[in-house]
Amino acid sequence: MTAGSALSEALLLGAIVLPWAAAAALAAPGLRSRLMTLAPFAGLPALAAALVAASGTTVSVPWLLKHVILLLDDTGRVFLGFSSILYMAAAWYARSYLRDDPVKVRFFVMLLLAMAGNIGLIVAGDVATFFTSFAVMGLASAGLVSHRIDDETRRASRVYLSLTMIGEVVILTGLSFLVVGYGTTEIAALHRAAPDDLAVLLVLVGFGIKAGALTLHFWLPLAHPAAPIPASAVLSGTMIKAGLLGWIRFLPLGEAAMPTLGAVFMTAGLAAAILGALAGVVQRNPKTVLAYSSVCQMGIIMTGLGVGAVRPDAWPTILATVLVYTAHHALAKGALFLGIGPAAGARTRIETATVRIGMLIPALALAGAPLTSGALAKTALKSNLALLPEGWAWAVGLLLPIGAVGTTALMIRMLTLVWPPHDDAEDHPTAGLWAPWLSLVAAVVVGVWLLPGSLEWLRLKLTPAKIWLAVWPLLAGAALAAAGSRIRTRWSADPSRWVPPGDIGVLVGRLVTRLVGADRPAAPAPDGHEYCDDVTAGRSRTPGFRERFGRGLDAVEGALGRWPVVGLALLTVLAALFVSLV
Amino acid sequence: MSSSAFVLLGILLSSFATGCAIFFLREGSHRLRTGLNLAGATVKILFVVALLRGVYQGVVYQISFTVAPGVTLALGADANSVFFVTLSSVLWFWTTLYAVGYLEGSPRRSRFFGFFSLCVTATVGIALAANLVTFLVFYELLTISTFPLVVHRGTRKALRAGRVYLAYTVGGGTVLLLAVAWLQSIAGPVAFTERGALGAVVDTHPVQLKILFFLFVAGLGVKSALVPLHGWLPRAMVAPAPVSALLHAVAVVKAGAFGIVRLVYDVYGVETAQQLGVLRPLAILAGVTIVYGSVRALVQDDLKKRLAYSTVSQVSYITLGAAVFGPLATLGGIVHLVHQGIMKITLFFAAGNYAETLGIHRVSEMDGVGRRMPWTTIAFTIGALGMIGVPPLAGFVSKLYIKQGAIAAGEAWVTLVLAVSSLLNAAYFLPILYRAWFLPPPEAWPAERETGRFETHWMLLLPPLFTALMVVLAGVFAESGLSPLAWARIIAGREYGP
Repeated sequence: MTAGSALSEALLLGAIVLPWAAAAALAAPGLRSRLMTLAPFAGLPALAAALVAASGTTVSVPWLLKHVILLLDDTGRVFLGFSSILYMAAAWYARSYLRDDPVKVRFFVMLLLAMAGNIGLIVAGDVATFFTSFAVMGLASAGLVSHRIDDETRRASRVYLSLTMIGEVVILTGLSFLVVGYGTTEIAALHRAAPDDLAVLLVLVGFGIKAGALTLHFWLPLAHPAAPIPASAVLSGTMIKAGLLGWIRFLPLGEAAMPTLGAVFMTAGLAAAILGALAGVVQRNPKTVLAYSSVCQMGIIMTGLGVGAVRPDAWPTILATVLVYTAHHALAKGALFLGIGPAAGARTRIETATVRIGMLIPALALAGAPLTSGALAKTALKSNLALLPEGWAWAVGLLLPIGAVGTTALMIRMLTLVWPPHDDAEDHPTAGLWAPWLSLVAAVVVGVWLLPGSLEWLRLKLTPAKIWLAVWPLLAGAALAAAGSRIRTRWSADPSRWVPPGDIGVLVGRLVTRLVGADRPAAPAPDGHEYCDDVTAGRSRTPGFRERFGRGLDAVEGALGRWPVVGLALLTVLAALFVSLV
Repeated sequence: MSSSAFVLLGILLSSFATGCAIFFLREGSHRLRTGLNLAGATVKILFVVALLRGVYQGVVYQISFTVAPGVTLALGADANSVFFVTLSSVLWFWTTLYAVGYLEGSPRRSRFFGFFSLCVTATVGIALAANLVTFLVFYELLTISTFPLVVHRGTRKALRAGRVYLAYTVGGGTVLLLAVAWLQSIAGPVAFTERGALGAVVDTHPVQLKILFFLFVAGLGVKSALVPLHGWLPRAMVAPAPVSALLHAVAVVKAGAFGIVRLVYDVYGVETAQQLGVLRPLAILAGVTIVYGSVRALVQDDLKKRLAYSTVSQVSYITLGAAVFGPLATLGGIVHLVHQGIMKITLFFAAGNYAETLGIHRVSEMDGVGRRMPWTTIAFTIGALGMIGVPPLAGFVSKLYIKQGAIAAGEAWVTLVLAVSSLLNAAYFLPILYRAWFLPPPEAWPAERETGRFETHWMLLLPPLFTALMVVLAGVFAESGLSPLAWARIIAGREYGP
């Protein structure tokens, strides 16, 4: 083993071990304040691994879990790069953002565990490591979302936790089908030539929840405003990308042509890009607007996967474009979220100007303005259209710019909401938030240009015709946003009433509540039994479905305590089992 | 006496003798009683270690004596019994330590610890029984020795729970006796044999064997709490916390589940059972129990009651694993014997700590308890996450193997049962964790006690921390040679033909 490969392996291992160790060490009261100060550095080995570790570096630990394999490939390298940057920025930001929070230790434990899980799933070479990391990240992120305990946050975190658990169960079932079907737990060896439709469906839906794919996206606009700012940044910047990575790793992309899967991806993606923008422009909380923007952006990325599902032969090229777009979105979205804190508290002229410029840069990047990372990423993604069959190429080529228009409108909406100065700026101290935020803005400016081949994209880009192609959605988006604001002022309506944050999820939730009364908490029953609906206990006193259902079953079980019934029960079991035989 | 008999009898007598001696101690001789208890538990573990070493080196352990013609009591140690006996003796040690701390200063401790020891004697007897008759004898002994523990508090509620417990278990025992007698009349004395003990009878009496299988399941299903025979279990939670820990994780429920494992693998033989077509109905029964128990757990506010329904659900994973044909599912089911034991005992220990230290009995009183008792709550969290099946904890390993076994066996519906059950587990455990860690604590706890240096008495704190650590290790190092999974793999390997 050479020194270089030893270094690569050490970095890969350290990338996972360090956040775990830091989270565990926070249990020691004496170390806490120092550890929280040092928390950002927990992401350093991961960043170093992304920058210098050799591709194909493998670490194998046979005695851990079901033979842990860590593996750094090119996809993982890109994910590792932007994820580690975002986690480091978020931890750095959290130090000041939560300075006076009595339970900030818990926040840091959760953030470090989420980091450990997120990095673990990126470099996982076997299914068990991947899923374990994924689950750890999911639970820890639920802890981040639930950080505050007001009613709104509790509702949001309940939705988030439910969807996270459902997603994980679906994914585990899907992965089990893959593992049993192919008889291996090594991800690279899951030769995916003859995909099992059920497994594909489970993987698609399970990771779709995490990725915020349309119809499974509604947790995003609820969870993002609920979570503290640094948590929202990593949630939108990297955690939803774990869903994307799951698709890349476990769908038969590049192995077999799957026209149906491609159609699903492209339809859901385009619909998300357009509907997400429409739902987002009417929101009043900047974090909700940014959440809907993430739904749109993930939709755009999904169209790229759709092309890959149709054209397995061109998958490596397509994957590269998807990765560029993902990295661009991660950094820009993270920078926008972190900017909300300084924007709310900017007072002096210099601060105000810094906030304006610092928010404008990632916003323009997301909208795809020329010379930004967004322009590069969009050009890259659009180059895939040539690979599509005629009809799809036309449809996607038509609808993607509409998505860009929508994104521009979203960004303008977001900027008008955060644009300083604010009247209550004094209440939001911003000390210590500037440096991590501006570092991330700087990463947005330079980051994507560091990827190989990016300068070539730039040369292609700078013709008047191409510049016009990038600029007209901006102008159209601005016009749309202006029209939206006129509607608001003229009719003084609150359009967010038409589309509540969480859209279909909220509607479905209301329906479920009406059907089963799930939100109704417990009243003590006359027989001394009590029922509790854990999260919303203590609001209304009407018996809900759960309580009535629980009482009904109690009556049945009460009967099970009587002698004759015991005998009868035994006989019933016997009879039922025997009948089932004949 | 041969060394093999010495070890087997040593395992039995280490707790039997302790129990008998303790009955005669005066109530006040606290130190002597504690010393005897812990000495008995330690000696038992030493004997078990000797047994493990012996079995590993290929020593055959067997003693038997004939009571009447055709009725032979026999003890032995095959892979299955070693597995169960290790579990029960290790957990007995920790439960004893816990019980000493828990009952400090309460009345009638000699009676309690006497029966406590007898209960464990019966359990290891069940584990070591080498034939059906011996199994039956210890199975009934277990019923008798647990009853005084269930009614220990002597309240009306406890007495009523005790009556219900007797009604169920005596009923089940009678059915089991009938089944054993009937089977012996067809097949002669039945000794537990890997891959089945019935031989030629399978071809001559298929119908009777099918009927008998379900007689056995009905008899064993009472203790293993298969729906609708589970009614006694949630009532029995009025017993003190160490008894609940014993009932749910070590002795009674486990004995029932172990009986079903014996029935499927070592009486019928899993291949024979599959041929007879009796496995699928058993799997369906287990599936119904798993979902039903979880649904019931969802609405319980009483913490121990919620845990009790959770046991109803979780123990049936063992039955489910046994009822799905194929080595992977067998592996998952058998390893869950141990995994469920260490997870559930952790939860009951923690629940006992909340009750004993702060007077908390209800889920709705648990707001912010994580800040007052962080270590107990960490143990509870590990147990609860393990039950949900969060990797890399023990529960994940067993569920994963059952799931993969079901897929391999073409029983995809089982994955649906497991998925629904995991979600329901999450729905009744995660809100508890949310309360404990995220909500602010109340001004005052219901009945707080002075505890000294630690968050609670050290004898109450150490056992849950140890078992929680086991939950983590059994999951993280599942593939190592010393894990429960490795031993379960040996068992599963022997139950299927080449």
